This record gives sequence, C-alpha cells and structure tokens, in this order.
Amino acid sequence: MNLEEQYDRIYKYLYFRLHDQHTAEDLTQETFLRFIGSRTYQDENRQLQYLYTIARNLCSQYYRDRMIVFNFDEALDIPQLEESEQSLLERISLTDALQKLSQEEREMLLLRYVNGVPVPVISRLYHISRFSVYRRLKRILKKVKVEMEGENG
Amino acid sequence: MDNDRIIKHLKEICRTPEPEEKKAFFQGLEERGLISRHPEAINHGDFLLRQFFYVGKWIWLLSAVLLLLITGICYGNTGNYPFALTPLLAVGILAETGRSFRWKMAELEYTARFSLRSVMLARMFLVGVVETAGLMLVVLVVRPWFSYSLIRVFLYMMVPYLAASLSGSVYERKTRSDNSWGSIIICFLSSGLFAAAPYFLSSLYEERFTVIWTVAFILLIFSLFVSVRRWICELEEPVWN
Repeated sequence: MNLEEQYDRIYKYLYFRLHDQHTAEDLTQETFLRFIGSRTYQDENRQLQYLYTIARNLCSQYYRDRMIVFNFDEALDIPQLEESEQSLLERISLTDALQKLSQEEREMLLLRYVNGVPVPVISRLYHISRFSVYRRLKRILKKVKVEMEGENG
Repeated sequence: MDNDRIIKHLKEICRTPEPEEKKAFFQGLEERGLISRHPEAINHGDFLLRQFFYVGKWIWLLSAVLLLLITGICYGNTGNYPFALTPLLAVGILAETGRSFRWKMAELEYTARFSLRSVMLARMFLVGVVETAGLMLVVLVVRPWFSYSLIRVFLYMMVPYLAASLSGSVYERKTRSDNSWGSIIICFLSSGLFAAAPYFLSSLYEERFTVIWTVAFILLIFSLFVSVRRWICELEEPVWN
C-alpha cells in the first residue's frame, strides 16, 4: 500500500466529515501515526480497512469532544468552473440530494466513488456482506437520482 | 441522468484543498525511522523492459532458431511437418516461467521489490508475446508457399504451440519441478503427436476441419488462461509454509 497516496484519500475522507482543512490534516496525520505505530495494523490484506477505521474513530471522537453537528452542505464545494448552466444545475441538485441522505449513505458514496475504496474493504468497514454493499450503493444512487429528477421537475 | 454522470459530478463536488503538511509529515516520519520511503514507482512499460533483460538469452536464441527453421522447412515445401515444430517453441516460455522454482529463488523473490507473481507474469507475457509475434510473422512469410488460406496457416501454427504450452503449464504447476526435462519432453511429445497425426487422420489438414481447428484454438486459449490464472493464484501461498 502506498502511504502517500492513501494520505490524500484519508484527508479527503476526513475533510468531508469535518469541513476544516487544518483539523482534517491533523487527524489524517494522527491516523497515520497510529497506523504506523501499531503492529496489529500491519496485516497486508487489512491495511486499508484499518486506516479508514482509525480515521473514522478519530473523527467520531472529535465530534463527541466538541459536540459538533455536521453540516454536509458546507463541506461541499460547487466549483465555479466554466461550464454549462445545465451542468451547474445538476451539481446543485446533486448537493441538495446528498443532504437528504443519511451520514452512512453519504460516507459510502464518498468511499466507493470518490476515494475508490474497494468493495471488500467497505464491506469489512461496515460489517456487511459484499453483496449488501453493492445493493446499498445501487439503492443510494437510485435515491439520489430520484431526488435530483424530482427537483428538476 | 445516468449513474456515471452522477458519479462524475460527485467527484467534482468533492474536491478538497490540497493538504499543506503532507510532505513535511512524511519527511518527519522518515527521519524518525518510522517508515522507509518506497523506491520510485515505475510504470508497467519500464517494468516490462527491465524484465526483458532478465529473460535467459538462450530462450531468445532458441525461439529465433526455431522460427527460422520453421520458415526454412516451409520454404522447402515438406508438407505439414513445419506445423509440428511449433510446440518446441513452448520450451522457452515454460522454462522461463518455472525458473524461479528451478533455481530455488522463489522464496527470495517473494520478499523482493516486485512480487514473484508480477515477475512471472511479466516474463510469461514477454516470452509469449515475442513468440506469438514471431509465429505471426512466419505465418505471413510462409503463407504463399502453402495452398491454405491465411487463417488456416495461422491455426495450424498456433494450435500445436498452444497445446504444448497448456500441457506444459499444467505439468509445471502440478509438479513445480526443479528441472526443465518434464516440460521439454512434453513439448517434444506434442511435436511428435502433431507430426504423426496426419498418418492416423489423413484429412486433418483439409478445409472441412477448419471449424474444429478454430474451436480447438479458442478452447486452448481459454484453458491456458485458466491454467495460468490458477498457477498465479497458487503462487500467493508463501512457499515456506
């Protein structure tokens, strides 16, 4: 596993849970320090799972300590690129649709489609079967699609 | 909107500012001896090029001599015998693939920078591609000296080669032999079998059998893929266990 490559992904994951660049980076570093410091995390097949588990636990700890209520809307960025109006509208309605998802559903989408975490790793993270992961992802995407189509009329 | 478009938008929405302390963090870890920086990653092309020079020179020599011999015999117009020589080409790929076990290097290669699996696959791929390309070239060169169509000459050349490669790979996988004799004997037996086949089935090279040759070719490709896949999967079990 390439640690430097994973650093970016863990950072992205934490950023979208915390919406604070410096906190996300601090917790990313803490994740890696704990990962490297623990011998039990050196099992070749489970490294990615351990990384995300540490990151998730650190994030939950951070929330608990500060009693923060996460606002997903703030974390999302609608880039002001030169793009068609339709594309911009689609992104805005996607952002709205994402807000209507549960924390776990958003996290799953982020892990699978943004961070490219393999399905077997996600299944171990959530303690569900691989088929359940596939089913849930399909269902979440469908839900997002329905929400978006509903918004666009 | 389709799922691909949603995922594309999702990726764009989820852009984050660049981490600022990443470089310093990894540098710090390295200085404290907590990690050793991996060697520079290399792309597949460079990796294959490196492996190319590790493939035994005698394999390239043997392949070149055999290809020239097949072309020469075809030029001499000696019937269907040249086709029976192609199984001998498989000696090269089989010998190269089993080399790590033959020289008791497998354990060492498991712990090296590149996994044994990648090294074996790369060498198998290189020798296979070069030999197949060589055979294709021979097919194109010798085709005018036969009354067969291009596709038939191709099938007559490839099927014996693939048959020998398949039986040799199964043998190597099952035995993990410490010498090449088994594979060499298998290749010679395949060669003999294809040389003798027209005596038992005189119509073997007739046009009506082309479908059977084609089916055999497809089946052999599929079986060879399965066999190599199994072989590679078995490599994942550390040999010292």
